[in-house]
Amino acid sequence: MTTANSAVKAAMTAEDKKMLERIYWRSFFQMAGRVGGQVRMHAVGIIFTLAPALERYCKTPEKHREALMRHSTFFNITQTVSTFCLGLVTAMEREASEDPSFDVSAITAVKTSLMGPMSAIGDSLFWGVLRLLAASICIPLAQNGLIVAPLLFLAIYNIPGMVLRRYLLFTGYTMGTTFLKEIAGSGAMKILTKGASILGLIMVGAMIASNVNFTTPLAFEFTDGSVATIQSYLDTVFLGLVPLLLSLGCLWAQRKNINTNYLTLGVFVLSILLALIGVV
Amino acid sequence: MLTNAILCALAYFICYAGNYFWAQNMCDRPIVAGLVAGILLGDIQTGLIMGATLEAIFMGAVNIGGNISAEPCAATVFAVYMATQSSVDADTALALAVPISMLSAFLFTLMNNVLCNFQAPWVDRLCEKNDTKGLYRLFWGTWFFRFFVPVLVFFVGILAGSDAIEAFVNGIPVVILNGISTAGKLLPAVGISILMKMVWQKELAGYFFLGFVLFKYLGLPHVAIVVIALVILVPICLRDKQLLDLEKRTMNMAAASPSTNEEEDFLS
Repeated sequence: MTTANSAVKAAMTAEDKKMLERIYWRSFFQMAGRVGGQVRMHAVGIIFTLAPALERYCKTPEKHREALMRHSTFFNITQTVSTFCLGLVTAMEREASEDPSFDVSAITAVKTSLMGPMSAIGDSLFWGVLRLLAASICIPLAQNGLIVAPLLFLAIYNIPGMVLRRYLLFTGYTMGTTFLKEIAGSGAMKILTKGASILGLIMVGAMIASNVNFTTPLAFEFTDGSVATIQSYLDTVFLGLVPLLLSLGCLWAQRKNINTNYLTLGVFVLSILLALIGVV
Repeated sequence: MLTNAILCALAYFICYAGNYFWAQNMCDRPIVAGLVAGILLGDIQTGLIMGATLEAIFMGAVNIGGNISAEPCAATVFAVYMATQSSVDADTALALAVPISMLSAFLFTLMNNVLCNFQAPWVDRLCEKNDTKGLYRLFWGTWFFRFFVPVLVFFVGILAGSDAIEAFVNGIPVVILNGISTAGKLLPAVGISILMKMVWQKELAGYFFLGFVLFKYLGLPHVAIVVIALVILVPICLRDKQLLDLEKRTMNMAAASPSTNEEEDFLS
């Protein structure tokens, strides 16, 4: 493994490095415009970040178009750790451009699988630990009127982030290219795709469970004064019943080729109606 | 009054929009927003001290405010403004800042949960036309508007005064608030369902429910679910690999010795 690593590392050409540098600097802007709100989150930001890779690996306009559509899906991940996933994705895009039999659904599966866990780790490390550390150091300094305190806060929070971001990008790309070269060599690409799909499906299930929530405060009051909430009945049938049914419904609708924008409108109108009749 | 309102709105824009512009660098946190507001309003010391105090208050995921929680950056800028106008202590300044920061929070929820969702068709259309320049225009345009609209309302709010804002915020029908917040919680289903469609395979569909159940019933964090998923799929993939190798070996053997088969048939 070490020899393979050093072989790939040595093989990382100047062009590779330049592309990764460009992706690194672009990754800082990924959350600027949340185009597509809750439905797409930072998809366009990711397209902006990955543009150097897509330009390089999508040799025809048709392939570039497909790549854009592939990456226009819901994507939300803690910025600082996002570059690991992006490094892997870059390696996969490269493989896709070199190997026509590469199943690109694996790219979506990897993005889907990494979103949740990496955000959990990234959020606790940065939003949790590092922010509190920086704040506890700088609040007393600021209360004493030192101008440098807020600037120190920014430095403590951001500098480790910048370093980690860079390391994760290059590591992700190296790991991705090494792994894919080994797989491609043994002809096991289909197995990789299946594995990625299994992982992707499990994580998509977990993401629906964590990101889609529904509670209703409706309750019945019985004559003896006891109260039964509708929510508890729903939970007894299945925890997260409404989110589950909603997402399966959306999946069914998409397979019938109903435009997702109608789905967005539908969910929105439904939410307002439910609020009007007091269900939520 | 007008100059101060413009300066406050500028401070708010620099901090809040600036945070998301580059790396979520936390410049919208009270400790930094206080400094920016202090610099623009001409009283750095007050800005620093107010910012530090409010940072301590907003350190955790604190829910100050009514049925909408106060937005820390707006609260800080307004509190610094109040403190520069009349020397009030931090708690009073925060109390005065709560209505306007609730209004800002409401507007951001409106932008994110309601308005921005309807941009999804534009994203699709631009991707289909392979128009990256258009996507970037949309991207930066959205950045600007997402922050400009709440900042504009913030500006108006400063001119209108705290009492007017409080009346307005309390007047927002609870129904609308509930509807928007429910929409915000249900809409990810639509977005994630696009991902579902891309990775869905009928034979593997059961794994979706596995992930769902692991999170909902066992309350496992995502990292743990990934580990379980890997424990499940690695043996499957290794077994598939063994089958693949076996297939290859069988094909090689069959290709290497066709003549022996004939002899065997003759003998049996």
